[in-house]
Amino acid sequence: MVERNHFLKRPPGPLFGFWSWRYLNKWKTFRLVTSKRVREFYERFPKNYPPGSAFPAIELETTDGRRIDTRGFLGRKHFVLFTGAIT
Amino acid sequence: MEQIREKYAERDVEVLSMYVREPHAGEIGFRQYADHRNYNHKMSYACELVESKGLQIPILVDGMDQQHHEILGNLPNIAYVVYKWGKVEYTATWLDAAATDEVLAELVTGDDPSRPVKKTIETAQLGTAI
Repeated sequence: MVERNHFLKRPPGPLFGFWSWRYLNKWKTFRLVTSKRVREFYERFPKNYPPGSAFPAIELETTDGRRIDTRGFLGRKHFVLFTGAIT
Repeated sequence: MEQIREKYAERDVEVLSMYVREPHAGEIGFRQYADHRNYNHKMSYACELVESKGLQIPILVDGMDQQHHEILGNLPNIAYVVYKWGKVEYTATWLDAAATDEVLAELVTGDDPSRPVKKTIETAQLGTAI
């Protein structure tokens, strides 16, 4: 059974999560991931909205011009929300 | 995550992605990308992501102030699974498709035990989260 407050230090996937480093500036990435600022993000994350807490309402515009408000799913749908970018 | 969206589409599960800052703009594999200059620029990158990957998942675009991303933890590829009554069911510092699949399978099986769902997706074979 998967840990509900899942703490991963690196992205999952091939090469023990280091698959992405071939696309990146290794020195910059190393400095980033070892910085105090990023360490604090990781330390804070499990306490942010832990399992069992109420998820905050998110309302944003989508790429197809709609607005989605997560409150609209209340009582109707479970949802997964993940963050990402091109790079 | 597109596989997950398809797998659970008929089981009252919505999959959403929030487009946030570009963490590696200008680096080796991404020289053509720059930091976002304004909201329209950010939106254009989000649209490019949708087109280049053929995504069906709705992509929410955070503002230039990164307000929502900061509230949620400010890490590049976090994931939340939220139960339909608004409580957080699962969180992850890095999106893991296999773990997300497992959590969703348990949730929807709990909703309707007569239609059990099993985990079928393995993150280990995936090169990217999206």
